[in-house]
Amino acid sequence: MAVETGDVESVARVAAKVRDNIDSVIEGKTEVVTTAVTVLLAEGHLLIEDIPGVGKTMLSKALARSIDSTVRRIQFTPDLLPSDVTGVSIFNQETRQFEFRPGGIFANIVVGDEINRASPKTQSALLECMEEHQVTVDGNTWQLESPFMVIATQNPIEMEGTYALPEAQRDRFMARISMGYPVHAAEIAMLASHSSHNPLDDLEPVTDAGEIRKLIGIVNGIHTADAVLRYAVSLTTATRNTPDLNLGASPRASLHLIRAAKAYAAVHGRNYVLPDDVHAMARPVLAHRLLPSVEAAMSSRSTGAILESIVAAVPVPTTA
Amino acid sequence: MTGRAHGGVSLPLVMATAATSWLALLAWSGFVQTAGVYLLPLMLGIPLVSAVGVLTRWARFPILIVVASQLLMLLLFANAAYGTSLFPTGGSITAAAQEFANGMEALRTYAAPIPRGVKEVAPVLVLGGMLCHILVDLCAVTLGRVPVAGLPLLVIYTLPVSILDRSVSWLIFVCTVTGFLIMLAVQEGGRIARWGRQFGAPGDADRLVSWGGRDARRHPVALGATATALALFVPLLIPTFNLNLIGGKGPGGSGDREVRITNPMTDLRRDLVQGDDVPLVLVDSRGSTPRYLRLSVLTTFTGEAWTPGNRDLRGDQTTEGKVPRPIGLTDEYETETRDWQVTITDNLKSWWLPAPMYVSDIEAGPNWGYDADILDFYTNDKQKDTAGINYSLTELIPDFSGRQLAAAGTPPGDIETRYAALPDVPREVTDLAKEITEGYPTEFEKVQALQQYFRGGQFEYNTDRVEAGNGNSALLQFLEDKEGYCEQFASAMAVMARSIGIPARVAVGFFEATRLESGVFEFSSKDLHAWPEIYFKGAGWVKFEPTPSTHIDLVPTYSDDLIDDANDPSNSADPSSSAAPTTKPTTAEPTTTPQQDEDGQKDQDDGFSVVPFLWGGGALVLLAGLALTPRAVRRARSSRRWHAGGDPAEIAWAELRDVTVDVGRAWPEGRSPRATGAQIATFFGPAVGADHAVVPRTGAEVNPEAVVSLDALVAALEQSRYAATPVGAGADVVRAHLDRCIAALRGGVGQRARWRAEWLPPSLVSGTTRPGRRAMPSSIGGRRHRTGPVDQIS
Repeated sequence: MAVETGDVESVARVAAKVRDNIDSVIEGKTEVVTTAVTVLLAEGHLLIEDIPGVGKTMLSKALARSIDSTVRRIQFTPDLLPSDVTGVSIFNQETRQFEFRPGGIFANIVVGDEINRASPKTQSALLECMEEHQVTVDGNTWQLESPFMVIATQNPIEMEGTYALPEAQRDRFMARISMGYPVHAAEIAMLASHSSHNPLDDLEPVTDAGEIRKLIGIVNGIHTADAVLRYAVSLTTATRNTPDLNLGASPRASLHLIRAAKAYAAVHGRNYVLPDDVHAMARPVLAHRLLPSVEAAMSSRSTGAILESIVAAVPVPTTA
Repeated sequence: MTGRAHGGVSLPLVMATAATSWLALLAWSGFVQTAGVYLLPLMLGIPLVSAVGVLTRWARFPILIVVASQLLMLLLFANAAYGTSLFPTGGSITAAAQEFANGMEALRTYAAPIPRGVKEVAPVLVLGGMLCHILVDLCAVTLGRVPVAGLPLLVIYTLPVSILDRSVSWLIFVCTVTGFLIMLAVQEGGRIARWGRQFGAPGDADRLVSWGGRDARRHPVALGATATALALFVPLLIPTFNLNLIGGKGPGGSGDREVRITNPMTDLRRDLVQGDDVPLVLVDSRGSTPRYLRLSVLTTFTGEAWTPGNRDLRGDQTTEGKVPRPIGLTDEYETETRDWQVTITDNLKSWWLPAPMYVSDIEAGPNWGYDADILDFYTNDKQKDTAGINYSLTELIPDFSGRQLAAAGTPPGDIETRYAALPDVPREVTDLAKEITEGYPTEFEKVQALQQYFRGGQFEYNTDRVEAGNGNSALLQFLEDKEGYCEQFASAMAVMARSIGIPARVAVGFFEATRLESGVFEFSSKDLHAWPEIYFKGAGWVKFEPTPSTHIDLVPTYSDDLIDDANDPSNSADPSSSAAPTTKPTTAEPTTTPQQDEDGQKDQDDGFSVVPFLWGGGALVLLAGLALTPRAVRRARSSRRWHAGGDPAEIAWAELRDVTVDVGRAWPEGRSPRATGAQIATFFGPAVGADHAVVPRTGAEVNPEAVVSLDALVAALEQSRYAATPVGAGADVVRAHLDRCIAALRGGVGQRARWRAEWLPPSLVSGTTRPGRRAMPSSIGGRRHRTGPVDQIS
């Protein structure tokens, strides 16, 4: 099932449009934006983790607004209930029947702000939704509309009164990205454009949910050579075998890695995956799933650095 | 040893090292009589090894490869010099290995110095010398540690001292040390020059070349010369420390031990075994080495011992002038004469006068009488012995040949009666003698068989654990243990000869003299020896040598002559000759029979030969062929790749990899094509054909055209490897791109690296995968795209 070159070019074109659109509100973060678009096309969920004020919410909103689709924003707080997320059945006095009131999750793009502030109960309510694209309330199951993407943000400092995401939940996010501070020039440009009005107000959608659905279909058909699959699996296997890590990447991580690589290849206009695509997606896809060993943690080696050395050490298979 | 060899070593150091190795190897001349047999081949072999070292180091090969190449050169040289063909064919290698094995065998068989006739030891010495030089070269040049090279040089120099137990000429010591000092000076000179400028003489670079008054190298040289001089002369000044560095003990010697000979046999062993080696007899024999100096002859075997027997000593037979012709020696044999001046030191107190076996004239004064039958000289006055006397004599040297001796008839009856008489001898001895000599038609061959029996390797020379004596019981013990010393070998052979009816007797005296610095020959107490003499009709008494070659390295030539029955007219009519056994004692071990003139008459050097130079020329041709081989192999590999067909992108990629390795760049292994390409692009230089010796600027921006081509190659390879339906690029297009990349790669390195890529392409020896050369993690990702978002917190 080879994907036509023209189809892939349409993916690249749309991705570039979305990217440019977001770039107009977030200066100088092309790579982060590219990763976000890639995750969208790979049907994954995105976890944005960074300190306050660097544009996490701005990125998620900009991405959501660039696509003409339903967008919901859930501000996670300790008193947020699971039903606020999934929805609740209410007895309608007029019809004398229970009626389902969809929660915040019923949208194409769900922006979950400060997800680690919610109680574990609420957090886990997200689990089924994220993984299976469906909601089950009172024994009734509602399918979520495609595309469905959860963009969650979390704040790594100011941890008091927060509930860190459990490993199982972190594993459900395809990728985690950090914004990082803007570069000097980008920050000056931001001051010039953002001080008068909110640039998000001017943002127009450049595509719609239907087109994104089509693009996702194209991405799924991207060719992946055996050598590339082998490379991805040797990467995840290496994370399981290194003594520096207590927890390596799961098979779901391998799956996410290949899907992300496919989307990345498509975003770059290729109808086949290169080892370089896997390589490029390895860090955002794998880093947040790993737990360093006690020794590595004590010697202040971040999982990112450990992953970096693993990726450098695993050779790319030369034969197809 | 995984490092790289010093590429930029100076040629003078290499030459000084080669010369010093060769000079140090002069010390090995004590192993052989003619040093030319190994020194001349080494004169070629050492420079060859050095040249290989220079080339491989220049190409910046790893040290292991440098040493391995030198060893390979050694083997090639050995094959060319000692094999049957210049090129290492199977037969030639076998032949060379056999030569080497023969040499080892000869070294085991003969005592040093190996006589001139034995050429087999040369391969061992040549290869050993070259091996030592490789060690010296490794330390001094390849590793750049000249002082450490002193160790292998010291080993070379001291080897003869430890093995031969004799000192080496001080001249060789001075030469070696001077060479070593020059090596040090060359290296230090280079090091000082690298510092840039001298202390106290700023900016004056020319001063470094001249050896001016304030040159930093003057002091080390003065120190070295002083140390060498001190090493030479201080031992001479310390009386208790007798290093004897400057050879020669001088006439009169320094020993205080006396050798007293009244009863020759009983005194022999005591003098052999005990104490120091004291000089006893000094002979001036006009340059040729005197051997077999006889003291006395034992004619009678009593069953208990060999004794001189009853002598016919008359007062009128004094040693003043001519003496009668030796008994039995007829004009059938040509004779030569040689004049001797003999000086006896104070240490030898003997009633017998040392003299060669055949004497025609002797002037020793009236105190000494002789036995006309036997021709040994005995004192007329028991108060007088040989201590301190001088005399002159003329030696008679008959030219015996095995064929003539084999043709000799039956000895006269009176001789047989007197010299073949035996008391009761144990039956085992007689049976053994018969068994050994059975089947040999002539007496001479029987005697040869007996001699070969003792020298054939079963018997061991040993003076330590052996009971003295030569009577019946000692004889049986000796034949059973197969261990003894010269007296027992001689008496056993004489008894066995007599037991089969051949007249025999035992002579006691000295074996071989050592040449002193002054040209005089010296017999010392360690040279004391005993040997049997056998009577042949027409020749008289003829000496044989049963003592094994580990102690006595050569036998009289005639005693080894092969008697070929078929060609011998005197035996051809004899019906018994057809029954002669085919296993002659001499054919059993043809390699260990020295064809050596018995009395060392021909002392002129026959070691010089043109053959080593022919071998050397062949080796040079071989070297030239070897030098061309890598280029040819590399080109053949490239052309085979394209002709074998297959995916042009993969072929071009493999070719690109080889070219990158050839120009001395590291090919990033284990990376994706794109990342590899990004790395390779940084090696690109301008694609001009100009010969710039300096290393040019490199980088992707230097040659954008080539980068485009490289991108095309990478894209083609990615298509071929990863795409579902590869869009195959044409071979011509790929080759054009490849050529542009290769030109850019070559343009990115200096002249020397380009030369090496052409003539000594390293890709021929490097494997396809090198885990050790994995790229640094930080460089992954490369030029074309960045990796994912930077993760600061994790």
